[in-house]
Amino acid sequence: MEHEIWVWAEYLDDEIRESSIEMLGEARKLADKMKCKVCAFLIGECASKYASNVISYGADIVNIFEDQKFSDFGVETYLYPFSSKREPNKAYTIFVALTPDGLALAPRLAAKFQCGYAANAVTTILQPDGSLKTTVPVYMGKAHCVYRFEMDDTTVIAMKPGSVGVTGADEKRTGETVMFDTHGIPKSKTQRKGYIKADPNTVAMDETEDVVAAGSGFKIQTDIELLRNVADILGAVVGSSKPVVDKGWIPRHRLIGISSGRRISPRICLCVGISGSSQFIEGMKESRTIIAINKDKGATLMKMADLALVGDLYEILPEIESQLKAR
Amino acid sequence: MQRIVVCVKSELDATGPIFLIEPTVKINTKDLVPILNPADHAALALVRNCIAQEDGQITVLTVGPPSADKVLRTCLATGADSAVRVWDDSFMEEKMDAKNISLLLSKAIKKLDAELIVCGSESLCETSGYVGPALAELLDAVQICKVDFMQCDDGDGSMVFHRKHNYGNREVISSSLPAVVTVDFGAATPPVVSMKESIKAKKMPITLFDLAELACESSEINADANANILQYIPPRPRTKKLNKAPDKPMTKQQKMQMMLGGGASKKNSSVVEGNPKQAAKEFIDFLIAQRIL
Repeated sequence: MEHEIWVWAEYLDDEIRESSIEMLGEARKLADKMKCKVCAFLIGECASKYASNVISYGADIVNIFEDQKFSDFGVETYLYPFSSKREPNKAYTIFVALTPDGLALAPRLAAKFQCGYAANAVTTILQPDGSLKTTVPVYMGKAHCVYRFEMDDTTVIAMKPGSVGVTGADEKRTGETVMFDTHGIPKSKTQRKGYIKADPNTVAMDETEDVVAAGSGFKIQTDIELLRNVADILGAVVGSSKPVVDKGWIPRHRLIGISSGRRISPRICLCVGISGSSQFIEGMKESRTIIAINKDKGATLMKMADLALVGDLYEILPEIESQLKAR
Repeated sequence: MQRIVVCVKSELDATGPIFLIEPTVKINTKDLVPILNPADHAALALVRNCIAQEDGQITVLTVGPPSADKVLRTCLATGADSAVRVWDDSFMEEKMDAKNISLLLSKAIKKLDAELIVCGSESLCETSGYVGPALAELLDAVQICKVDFMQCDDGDGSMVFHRKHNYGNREVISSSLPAVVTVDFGAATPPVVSMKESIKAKKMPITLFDLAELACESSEINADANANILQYIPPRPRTKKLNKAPDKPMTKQQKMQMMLGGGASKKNSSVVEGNPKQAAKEFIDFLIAQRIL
């Protein structure tokens, strides 16, 4: 049966989302092995201007659905491009990144097409017999479940942003762009009435992009102000490890670690004066970038960090603050 | 008076101990206890906080064998007004995957004729988040995910929801009914169950819907899943991923290194020792390279 690989390419703030670039990379890898085409879907009010970008990241065909009705995300309207393009004698593998919008669309696509669904997929590997082996975390990440999907069936694969990493763009790539007629779009049953921006003082730990964590390296409570100043310039949220919360210096809802019951995966996690107990690391190891400041070069967290600054936090933090202010 | 259904799941407490050392076909879950899915409990608490009892009657609904009654009683003690369990003797617990459960729930919801359907966004064990959107598809209802506030709009029967968007921001959405809404764990804190509520909940009846009640054929339910589970393996270690697209494509050696978990090699060493000025400069350069500054 003929097979096609679809990717929903999202854009935000005038550029293609990094998570969509990751999906295009994954789709390209699979398509090269299966010798089939990658079809990207660009959906939105001004979708067509991203088409060449999407091609350079791996798409062979870009299906553009450009209409004012797509300006706000609504699951029912965004399903229309996929369901209208689906042909009964073809099988599809659909890659969607688990952004706030992708999280709503991906399982709905799987339900609409009555097909297999792999959520938070870690790896997708094509097997020699033509089936797809997908690994999915279960039981809160304590085990990974390996699923097998047949290539004759449609499958929706949803991956967390940051799970595969972006690949470079190949400007020499060529592809086809197709504009589609949007008269058949159903009217949206929802309407966006407003937008509330997050307040760094009250936003939840697992939703924020940048996190700064204080540890036992701080000697007295007022010293945490050093860290708060840096956090304010970066627009980051201040969290801490358990010993600091137990002393009452940081509120409980800003705890990072197993005891908080949540795993955070921010863009950067700057850990200051934290040695890295296993409970703390479990709570933040999913972060994209880990930066650690500690006097002890051999601390667990220092070995794990993407950037480790060895030194006294009382000297480094004021330096960081003054250099950031000077920019 | 609004008719609200909250779908809940009785599942194994995945925060408990599971140790997986080698690949295996079946996970040993004997040390785990069944609990009410925390996201579903948060969903119930959110509905109760936002909608007063005189404005909306909440029915909790679950698919499960008689042991799931315990979870329904917890819900009855923390804000639900009535409870329904869906089960038939012909059901096999292993065949109850997300697809079959969504089908059964949708048939029960049609019978209960609800306007607002709320459920947790994902379960502890599977974390697929499939049931909420699947219900919206089967009921042809509006779907809004990751909601942390809801309000009835007086007059035209629509409701206002706050949906979680990027970086902690919230989208304010107005929607017509029927609507299926999913709620994350942490959106609302369930109240502590008092002794009085607990005793009252024990005496309340739980309605049972079997296949005959739902007017459903057993052949619809026990259909095979789309995917085969091959095995369970221990979790993979964290690999270093590049945050931004590299200027040059990676060489084959670098790709191998990244896949095996070492991380793509970087020009500068990732450990900085030296004076604080140097350390601070490295930090800022690193953030610039990662496109954060």
